[in-house]
Amino acid sequence: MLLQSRIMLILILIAMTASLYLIFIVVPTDVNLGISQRIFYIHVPLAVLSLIPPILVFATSMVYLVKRSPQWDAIAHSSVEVGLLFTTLALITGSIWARPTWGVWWTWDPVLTTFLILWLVYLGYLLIRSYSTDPDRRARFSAIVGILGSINALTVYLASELWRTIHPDKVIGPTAQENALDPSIQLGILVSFIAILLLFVYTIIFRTKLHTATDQIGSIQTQLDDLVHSIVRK
Amino acid sequence: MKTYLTQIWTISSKDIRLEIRTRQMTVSIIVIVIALLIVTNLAIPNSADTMFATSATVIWLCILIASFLVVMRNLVIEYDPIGFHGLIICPVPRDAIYLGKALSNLIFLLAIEAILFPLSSILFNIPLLTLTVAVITVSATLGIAAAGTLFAAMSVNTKAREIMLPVLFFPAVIPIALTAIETTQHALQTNYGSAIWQDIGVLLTLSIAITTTSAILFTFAIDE
Repeated sequence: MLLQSRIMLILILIAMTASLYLIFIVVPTDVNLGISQRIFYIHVPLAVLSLIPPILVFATSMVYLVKRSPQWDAIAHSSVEVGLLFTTLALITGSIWARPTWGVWWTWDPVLTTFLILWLVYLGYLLIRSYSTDPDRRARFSAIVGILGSINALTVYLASELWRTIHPDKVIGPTAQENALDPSIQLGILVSFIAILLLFVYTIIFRTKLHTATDQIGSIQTQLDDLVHSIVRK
Repeated sequence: MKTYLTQIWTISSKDIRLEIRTRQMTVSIIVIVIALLIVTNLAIPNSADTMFATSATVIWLCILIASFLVVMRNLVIEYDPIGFHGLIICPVPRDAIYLGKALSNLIFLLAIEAILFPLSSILFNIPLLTLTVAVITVSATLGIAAAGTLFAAMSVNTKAREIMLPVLFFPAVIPIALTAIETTQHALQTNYGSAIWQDIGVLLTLSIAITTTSAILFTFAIDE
């Protein structure tokens, strides 16, 4: 297990280095936006991957409510933590990009607004976990918040598709126009996406293992406490 | 089916009867909402160009705060663990308990809106008393009451119940509130035409989705 973890870390390091090389050395500077456009290679993968945790949380929370297995709760919890991190980074990098592009750090564009809502939902999820003392209740409540939060995430997607937005037209993904980008830019996005995806997967696996171990320690601690109490009573 | 509906009505009529006897919640919330209307109306500059957008935003802001206060009040009623336990052990399905509580929240909110809308129509000088605005209001209030009821039931079982409710409630109802503001603005524009019913359809779908999901999830929110 440790070997797999190390291999994955080495892969992330290689992909990150290649991504940074492409971003700062290979890809051409944008004629209109200048050097600030290079944050696009970080911002777009972060924003796209921010939409995966809601799907994971929805699915794992549903399974948890049916099966009541702590493992599913641990995956949902990790997904929210990673989702919060990625959404925060997407909002920050988006702001840095917005300043030279739109002249403001923040605008109430539907995509930005709905990402902010998603960020608030993640915070609510983590807060309800920290305010619930009973482990079973904590897992149930957070699963409920996770499912309803995922419906909010669906609104995030619908908002970007249906509402009027000042976000640029899609240049990557299934709905993008063909040959919209220079091949070196396409390669830059692809490598950056792979690097951030690897980091995303690694973080979720790492946090899930950590939460599972914490739950097991908590369970052993409770059993030990019960044992000590029964010995003291005798 | 008739029994199920009777069970829902029995639970919600308990809250309504309590409110009719005490008149604590609706009167206080109406006072707060009127104060909010006055403050926001004076604070936000309102020109002919922005009149519909500003008034729709102010009205829905008032409704959101009123909704929070209504579900918060319902949370306080059930604060006593014995009282809530009494409700849980009554021999009715849990979704009937949820729907009963949600119905009472919806009725309280509609009662507040029945005063808020004519008043806003006079204060803002806009045509709010129309069928489309009424349909928008009922559709959005349904979703807001449904989400609020679920989160109130969950918050009552946490350490910081007074803090947890707004933290969960406001982000959850933002999509409904935003859609309601947008749709109300369109409804106020006379040249918007029949496209308004498409907007209302989106709002109603969102509300029904939240209500159905909340009713299903409520059964998991209550301790066995």
